[in-house]
Amino acid sequence: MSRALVADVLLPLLVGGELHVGRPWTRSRLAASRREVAEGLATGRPRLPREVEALRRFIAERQLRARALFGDVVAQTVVAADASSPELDEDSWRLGAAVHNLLALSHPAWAGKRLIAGWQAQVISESLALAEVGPPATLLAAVRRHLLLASLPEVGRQDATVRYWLGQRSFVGQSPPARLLSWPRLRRVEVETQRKSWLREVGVPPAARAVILALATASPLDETGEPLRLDPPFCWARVLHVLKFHSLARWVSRRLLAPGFERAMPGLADALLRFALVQEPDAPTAATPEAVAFAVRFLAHLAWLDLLFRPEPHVTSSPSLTTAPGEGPPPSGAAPGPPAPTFALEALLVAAAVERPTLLWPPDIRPHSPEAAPMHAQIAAWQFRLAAATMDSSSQALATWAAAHSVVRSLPEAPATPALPAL
Amino acid sequence: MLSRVVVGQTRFTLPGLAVDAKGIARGREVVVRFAGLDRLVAFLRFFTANHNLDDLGQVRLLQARREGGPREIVLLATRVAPVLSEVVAQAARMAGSPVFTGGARHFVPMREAAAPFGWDADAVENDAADLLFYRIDAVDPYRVEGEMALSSLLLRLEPQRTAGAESRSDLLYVLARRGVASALAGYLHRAELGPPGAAGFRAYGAFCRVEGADRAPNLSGGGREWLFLRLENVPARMHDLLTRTPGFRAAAPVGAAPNLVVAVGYRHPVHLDACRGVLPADRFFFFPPPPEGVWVVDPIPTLAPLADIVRLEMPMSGVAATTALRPAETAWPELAVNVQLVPSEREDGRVVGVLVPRRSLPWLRRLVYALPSMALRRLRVALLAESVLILADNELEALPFGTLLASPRPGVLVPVGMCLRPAVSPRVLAERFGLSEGSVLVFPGAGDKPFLVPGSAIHPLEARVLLDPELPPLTTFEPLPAPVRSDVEVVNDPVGPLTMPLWGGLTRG
Repeated sequence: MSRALVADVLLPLLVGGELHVGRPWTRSRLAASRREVAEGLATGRPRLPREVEALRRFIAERQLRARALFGDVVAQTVVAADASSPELDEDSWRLGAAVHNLLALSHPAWAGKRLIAGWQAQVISESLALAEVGPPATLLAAVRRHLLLASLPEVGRQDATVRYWLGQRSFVGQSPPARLLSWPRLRRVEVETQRKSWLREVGVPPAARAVILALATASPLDETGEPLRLDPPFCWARVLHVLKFHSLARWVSRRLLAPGFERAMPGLADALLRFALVQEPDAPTAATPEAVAFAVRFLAHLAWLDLLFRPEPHVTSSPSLTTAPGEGPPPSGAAPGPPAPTFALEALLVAAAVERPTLLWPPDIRPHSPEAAPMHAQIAAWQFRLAAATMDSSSQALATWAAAHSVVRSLPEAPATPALPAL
Repeated sequence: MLSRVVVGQTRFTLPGLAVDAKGIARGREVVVRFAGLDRLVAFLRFFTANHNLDDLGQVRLLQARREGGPREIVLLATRVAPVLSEVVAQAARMAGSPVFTGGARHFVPMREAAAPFGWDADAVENDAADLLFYRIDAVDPYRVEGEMALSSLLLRLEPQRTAGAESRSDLLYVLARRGVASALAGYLHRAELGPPGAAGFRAYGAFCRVEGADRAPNLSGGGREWLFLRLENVPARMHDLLTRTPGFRAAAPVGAAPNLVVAVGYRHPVHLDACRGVLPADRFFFFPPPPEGVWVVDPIPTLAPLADIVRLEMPMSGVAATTALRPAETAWPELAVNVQLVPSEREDGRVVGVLVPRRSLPWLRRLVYALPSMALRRLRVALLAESVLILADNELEALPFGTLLASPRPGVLVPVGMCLRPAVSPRVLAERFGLSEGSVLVFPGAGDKPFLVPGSAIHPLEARVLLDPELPPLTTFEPLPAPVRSDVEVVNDPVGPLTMPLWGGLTRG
């Protein structure tokens, strides 16, 4: 078992490089390692000097990335917290160990071995216990966890296959030994390497999906960069936990609109309708009327941002009778678009405009002021699109409208002063 | 009074109803009843967003009234295609107005969710009304009181201000009063000749009669007092000038309609490019900002290149300003004459300087921000007591105010259009006025004494335009290098052949 979690796992997750996977970490081993590192920091004579040095670099690099990603204000929070304690926070230890264990599930030393059948369930159970740190309670926790786990979609593995005159050998995440590559012409050695994305191509066993969900719950900022991802899908129950921090909410707004309004918003609206209707009992955030109302206001906020700050002219006055939103070819080089139009966005915001206008209109914009004209035009376009879609019996627009209308009618009005629901 | 049409039904009680290819009962005419003008406008806006009004065939707007009821507007369209009648119905429902179909003054409601194949009447009503609208439980007789032209309605609607940033159009139409027309034409003609940023800019114009312009509150005087301009590839820097200067009205074309323009920053409540067939094509309709109504240019003038219209003339020609200046010493008092400024009959020298009075310095300060770096480097300035003298090496451009000065002789500046008499040689003039290398002798104009600006008082403009900077104390967070990130590569370390994954590591209890 590797004894250097920070040097082998946490630091590569943060800055890139080789992430070494060994025996899975357990809570007891993790506690022992933390004690040794803490003693080394306190006494100045560490038993694990490489680990202590890596920890200091990890903290410095985390401050650097917090500043580059979130700006000075958020970075000052991280720097102030790091200055108060030289040790690494517990969340980073536990989440890093959980990620390491997930990677270890595909280690060739154990994967598929019958002799140790059943070990997988134990590792998953232990990993789940490590990853279940809950939603971030503070801005500091949200930022720290995101900086650690943001690179998970980029984690990859080099697999090599060596063919020679007597056969072939495969090396999963390992380099072939030099002796196997010697005398290449005589032994007719051919090496074929392939890089696989861990999350998309290697994956984890179905039983480990709970650990992936626990990591997503622990760091909701990660999924705001991928509002269109399929698994696990975008979940408002997780993301609402970070939207209560204003500085992070602005940052999230920019990330959510990055793929483009027409591409990102329908998926977000679908997820919001699902969040309000399904009422999952074990969701990180209960779908209370206040929470759903806040999510609708955030959705309207994104629509306002797009209306006011979109660089090209916004086409709102020509609703199409024949083309539904989402149809047409996606832009070249972009991620695959949303599957079929569900009209959840139109239904939710039109219902809000009709039933709960305070959820749609910001407090500083009066509905009859000139600044409100673009939104009026947008709502009219949505209404027209919705009405045209309801005439088509094959469309789900009518059912979507009924669901959105019932959801919005159950929501409270927005408070006069901007306030956030208790999450 | 109404019954639902069933599948396969081909015979109807109401005259004029027939089945279409889908088995839906439709009449020859589609009728929409509007409770007010606002709903009619809303309908037109929704419909013209995607369809041309000409597709509806013959459209009539009738003013009709039910016995004891308010006056309503009835839109009657004949020979409407079945597909288009559905569009009309949707737009009418969006506008909150009922829609009917039928013919020969009998009309039943258009098909709806309750009757997917349409409606038919149980019996034909024999009322003498002009229009009969059948309902489930009654028949509404309407009497037609008049008819209004759709074109007059479109021309009476006022443009609405568009929100957000104004979209800039490359093609602009400008109407300018005759009082400012010559100045505007001269400016545009100079811009056409090729200043920076005006590539492809072309202007055409004609003087014309504008009907309705006398309604403008601050633009009195109609008739043939207007210069009609068509500007192509308008540079961005001209937009504000053309759209915000009093005396001009700038408008952008509506879609592909060649004779419909709406003021920049406004839009018509109805998509006008879909109503081209309704408005006469031999007139030019100009929709200025409300409440000025619509301006009509009739007939559409034949436009000529601006170079054929603009009047070229020398500045200050015809001004008989003279001044007498006496040098300090004259050797022969009985032969001495005064140096005079007299109007010049020909252009004498290039414009190389300008004398900007103190009251115009705010303009100069604003202009400095717009000057290109090359101009800032080449211009020189002398700060005088009551004015600022700006000099250029070769030729002065882009300073439209102040007294323009030409240089008929090296080191001597006179107002453009004037010359010095007697025409003594430069050497004599330099001797008499003490003109040295680098200094400039300026004759500011009639009634003003000349003055000599020494070369030491002339500085580059860029060295004089900046205030002393007041730099706030810089607070740096911490100098950190830019983060560098590389791919995360999983490396599976060797763990030995018989190692159990969690050997001895599980937490017991």
